Amino acid sequence: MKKHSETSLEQSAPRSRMTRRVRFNSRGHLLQYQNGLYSTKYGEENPQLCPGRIFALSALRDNKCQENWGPYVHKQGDLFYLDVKQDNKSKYQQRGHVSDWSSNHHVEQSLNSGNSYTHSGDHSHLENNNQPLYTKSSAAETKYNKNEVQVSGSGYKHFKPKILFSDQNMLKENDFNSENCVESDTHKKLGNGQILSSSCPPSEDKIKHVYLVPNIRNCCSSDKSGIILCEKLFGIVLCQYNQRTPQHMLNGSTLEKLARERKIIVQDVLQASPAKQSAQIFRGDMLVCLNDIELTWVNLDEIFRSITNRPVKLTFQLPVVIGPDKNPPPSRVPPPLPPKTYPHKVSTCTVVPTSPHQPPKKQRPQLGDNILQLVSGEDKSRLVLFLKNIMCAVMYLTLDSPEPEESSENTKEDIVYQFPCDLENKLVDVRGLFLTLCGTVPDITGNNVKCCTISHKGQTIHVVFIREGQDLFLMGFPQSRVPLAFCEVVMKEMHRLLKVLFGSVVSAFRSPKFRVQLDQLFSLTLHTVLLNPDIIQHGTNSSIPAQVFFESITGAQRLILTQENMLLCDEILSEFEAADFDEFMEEEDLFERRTFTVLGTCLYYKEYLLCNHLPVSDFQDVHLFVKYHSLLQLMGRKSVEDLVIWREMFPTRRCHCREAPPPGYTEPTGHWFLLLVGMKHFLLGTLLEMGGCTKTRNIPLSPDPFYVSQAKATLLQFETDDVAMAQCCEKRLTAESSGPTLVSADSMLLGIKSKKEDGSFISPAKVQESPKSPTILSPTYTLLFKWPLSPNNDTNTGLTEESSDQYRGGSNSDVSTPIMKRHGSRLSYGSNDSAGSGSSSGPHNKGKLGSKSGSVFDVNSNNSAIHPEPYKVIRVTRGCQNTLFHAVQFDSVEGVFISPTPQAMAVSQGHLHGQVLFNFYKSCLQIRNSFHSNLPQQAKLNPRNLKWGVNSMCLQEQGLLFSYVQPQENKKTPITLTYWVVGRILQQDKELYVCFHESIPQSTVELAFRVGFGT
Amino acid sequence: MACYLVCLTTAGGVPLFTRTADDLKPLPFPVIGSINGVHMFGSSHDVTLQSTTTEDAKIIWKVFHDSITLITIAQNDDVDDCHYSNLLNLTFNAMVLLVGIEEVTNIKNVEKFKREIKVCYNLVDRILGIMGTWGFSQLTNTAETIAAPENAVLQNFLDAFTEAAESVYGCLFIDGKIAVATKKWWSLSANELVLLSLLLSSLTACTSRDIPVYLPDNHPTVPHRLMTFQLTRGIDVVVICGPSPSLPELEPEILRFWKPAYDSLRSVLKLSSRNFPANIALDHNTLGFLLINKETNRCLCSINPTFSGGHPDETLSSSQRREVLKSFYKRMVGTFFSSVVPGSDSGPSEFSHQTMESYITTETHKCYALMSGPHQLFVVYSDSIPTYAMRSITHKTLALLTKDRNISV
Repeated sequence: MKKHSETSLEQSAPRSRMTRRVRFNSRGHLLQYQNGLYSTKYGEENPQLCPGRIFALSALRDNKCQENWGPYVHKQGDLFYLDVKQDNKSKYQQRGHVSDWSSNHHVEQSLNSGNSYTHSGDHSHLENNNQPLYTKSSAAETKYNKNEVQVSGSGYKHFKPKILFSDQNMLKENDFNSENCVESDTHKKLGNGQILSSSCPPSEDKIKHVYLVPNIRNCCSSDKSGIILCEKLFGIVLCQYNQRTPQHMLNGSTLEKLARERKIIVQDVLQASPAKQSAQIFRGDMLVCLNDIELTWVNLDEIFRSITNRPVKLTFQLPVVIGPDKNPPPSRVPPPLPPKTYPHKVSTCTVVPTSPHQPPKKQRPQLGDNILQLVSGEDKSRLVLFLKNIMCAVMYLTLDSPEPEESSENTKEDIVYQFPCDLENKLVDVRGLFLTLCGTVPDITGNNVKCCTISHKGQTIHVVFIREGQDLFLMGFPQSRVPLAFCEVVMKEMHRLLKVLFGSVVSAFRSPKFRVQLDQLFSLTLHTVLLNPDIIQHGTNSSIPAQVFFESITGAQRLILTQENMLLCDEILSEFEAADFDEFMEEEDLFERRTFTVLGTCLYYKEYLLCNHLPVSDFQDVHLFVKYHSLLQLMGRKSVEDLVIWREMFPTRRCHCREAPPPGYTEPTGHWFLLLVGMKHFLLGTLLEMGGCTKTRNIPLSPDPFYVSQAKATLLQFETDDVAMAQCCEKRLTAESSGPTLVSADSMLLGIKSKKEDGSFISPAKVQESPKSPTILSPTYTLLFKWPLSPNNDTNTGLTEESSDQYRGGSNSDVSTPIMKRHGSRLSYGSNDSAGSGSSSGPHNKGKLGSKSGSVFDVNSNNSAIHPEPYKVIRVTRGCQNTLFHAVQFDSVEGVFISPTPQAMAVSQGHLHGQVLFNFYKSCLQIRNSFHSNLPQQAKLNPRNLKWGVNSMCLQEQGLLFSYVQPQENKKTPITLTYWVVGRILQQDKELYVCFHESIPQSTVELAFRVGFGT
Repeated sequence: MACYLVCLTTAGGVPLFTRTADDLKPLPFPVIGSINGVHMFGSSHDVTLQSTTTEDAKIIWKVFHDSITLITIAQNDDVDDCHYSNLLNLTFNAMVLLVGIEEVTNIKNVEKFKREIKVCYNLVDRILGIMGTWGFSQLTNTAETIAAPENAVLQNFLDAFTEAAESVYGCLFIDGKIAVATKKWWSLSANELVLLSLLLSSLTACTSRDIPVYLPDNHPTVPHRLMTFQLTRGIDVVVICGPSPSLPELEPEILRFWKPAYDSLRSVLKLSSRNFPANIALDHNTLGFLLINKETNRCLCSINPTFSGGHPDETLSSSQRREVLKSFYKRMVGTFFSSVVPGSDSGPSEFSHQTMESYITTETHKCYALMSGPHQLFVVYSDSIPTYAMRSITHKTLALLTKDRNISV
């Protein structure tokens, strides 16, 4: 990204001034040099958002950002805006579905979703969206294809109203590229009689016939109105005209005309209705005929009342694209929704009355369901289809439901919420079992049911529960896809996430307004949990446990940068957190209180966490949100043009923590908001607090454009030339030596084959006899054992002698002493420590200022001086060969884990290695589970549990030795590969999992230490 | 281990009996009804409810022969379900052992059956650990043995006595553990071995008795006579006979056959806390071990392997060692190791490579598990042992234990 020396803005705001912003870091590096154009805008664009607010323009696209996400703010203040710039050739396009139901203007731009997402390289309409400079820069990056595809979600939905209303005759010709328009432009008679010019005459394909079976059961005899009937029978909500509104918009003659020719327009299609299932009827379609009888408002009621339970032919006329949008966003009609049944039949779509001052382009965004498509690229209908074949369920049941009527045996009164909505499987059928179980078992055990295992037709299904008073939240997954330990983790995290997002589990499920959000959350969760996108991508078995293991760690994967870069990140984030926005605010705002306090920020690059300034509990909350919305996968996969997410949060630390605050201090009460801003591969999470010292404002709040633009500016700072964080991260990710070097199990086995002959075996007795200085001892030690050791018997005898000798020497002492004795001072704690700290201190880094990688890893460059041949690689295992297969480190204090980068993993590949990793991850899950099942043991007060056992003490380390025997042809002795999988928990907050060949006995304490310093 | 056991008829859901741990209130009838009801509801929907877990308890349902439903509520140890279902399996077989398979699978008169089944209460309590100490037999599904140097001598006495009793099934129990048994006795199935051992220790001590037993795996329909004779306190000799000889006939023979063995028996009895010969010296960090032979269905356990004096600062008491060993065993078997316990191979089979060894370390102790051929060795060490040394010491221990001729595990 070029330094923004000049920004040329097309828009010349009336009151604008140029200011210059120069930032230096503490070492005098020029961090930022900006010429900003501060334009004051008084709500020409979005008066509801920024009345009289001045924009800061520290970045390039401040105006744009508001333009883009502004209209998508949900009524409740939430925002989920995502604009994906895809860097591949896939040209499907997300199209906007423009509609406006506020008045007599029904302007539809309903694009048939069909299969017509092909967008043949038309780029022009994007030009306006992008600031020129940005376009330039993106053009410079040849990496990304110019075929930018924008996905626009407004409050979770793709409605991108782009119609400008100037007057009654506000509708202008749409310059939508003709190839984009599946439906051709045509004459459209509007309600007010205005005839729009169009490019082609109406044709037969503008008419569609849909056959639906009316849902007769739904309606009762009292329903008389055709509109209501239509809604109940087909789930089609017709547009009801507000007689009052048009009057001041229309003159008398048109009103009269309107009364005659008023069209019957589909306003909404209800979830789980026949219409929705047909996936052919969309908002904006005009209902023309029913069973070939022409429908008018006059005969509507009558015709609908005559409907029986036989299939009905409905004829619709497709709406026409009208709209003057210069740059229509390519976005598409949401894919067919999965049919849904809500017991309370909540219509998520209602007409939003628009204020007279506000151009009606800001409708209440339908909380759509395309977040899944948006984020994961997975089609929702595919997911639903997939879920149908899998025994899984997400349900929220209640005990205190009204008594089901005797007649209807299949009532679902007790289901408050269900996902997938209309799923009919065994789990739904036997939900009474779960309810009874959760009602009864606490009477016996005094504890709520955590999970239960059922089997159906040979398939084992785990169901996990959370009980909330009379209600029960449960999730069930088949064991073949989701092991029990993972189920419990998912439930635990989901429980927390629901509390964080909605305040409480009960309110999450009970209030209808969250329903769509829940749908999205669960569709993404199930998509991740069950489908495991990695499997689909790679098609290998081995990544299932890997995925499961990583998903079950409540923490973010951390990318360790060099000291210098870390500092830079910290500085840039701190600057943002300091809220020192003086230069960007206008005078009147300057002396007011800030709207929000920035509690902290965290920065992700692709799937990795770079920097976190949040308290760990808050960070976990934020990370859970990011994780369960699959945002990191998205950031890793695609370069994101623009991502703005705004949500009110109920952080665990503030809202759900029962601990009493320290005396004399109380946390301010208030509201907390999560702001996520993404750009390219960077994702910046900010937790904002309203309350305490901030300005008091009313709730709910929409995202503050000022903070969004500041966050964007912060992200842009990372892209300036002298920071170039993305390159640093990439370098780091692709660097060979970014972590402990791994070795492949396959090569290990091959190595055994080749080196079988030349194993120089020095008996341990020799070493015992000749005392050597520590520096010499260490290299000699590597020769102690024939490497690689095979067959196994040799290993055992060698080990036995050696270690028992040692053990005699070091009896009755703690673990560390014998290790020190054995390894000599070089490998002992003390020296390792000094080596580690030495490397991280100044002088080391100074020499490496140019290269941005590897400077922390010089622990081994110290060590390698002693080795006969200088190793460039970082080795944490002892012995003359690297024996480390894999290592994962988890730090629960910071909530991060460190695992080898894909590049490092790529070095060690192979079929056998895949199996090794498979076992590694699988056993890590078990080990981790047993680490954590032991932790909350103090809380148990039940006398039944006073039995003393391993359960009641802290597990520190668990190791498993796996053995693989490769059968050999022509009767040779089979080759055996044996390797350890060891998990260790250090001081209850750090966890380390390593996988290494068993040839040389390793001390995990030491490994942990070296991994800790090496990465 | 278990806190409650509920036994019901599968068809009608009629409670046959319930067993409750001493310190707990018995389950009220509606609760029994509903926990059975959920299972029945599930099976009517073709869904089998297997287990339910809470923070500290676990409920297991199991149906046998479409006739008996057993439900147990047990402490949740975070271990594989196979251990719980093994206990229920043993419980059902205990009913078969004492009543016979025909009675159990065809309950015609529920009230009559309720009276009949009372005989197995003690054994069931014993199996589930509701009453008395909870041994390793039912946990490992193998017969616990005692390895004494005198075993070779005692074998001759036993063979002679068994022959005199016109039987092939003879066994000498010392403190509830098998010292010696005839070849035919060892050929019994694992279930039968375990159940007969437990049956003996569940019965109140008496000089001699004669009770009918059905061998659940070999002869579930034919009753045999189980005769036990107490030689001295803690030592019983057991034979399984056909219709003859009668108890009065055999009683006088006891003195004749076993009088010469008295000294040997006394010296074996001294060993009963250590369980293996005193001449085998294990590493002094060893706090206890459990050796299992999967093929012969025998296990040898010692929680007193070193004579006191090795460690003045004992970190774990004997009962704690026992608990640690059990807990470690349960944690490993079914998850990483497969064993004699039915169903324990499903967990380990999910790994693509076989787990051979494993260890855990805690603040107070360390444990090591080793698989080697038919043998499995689980050892508890004190925390002063270096982690890296555990492997070699365990290998040495296994070699010591399996090579010793006095130890026939």
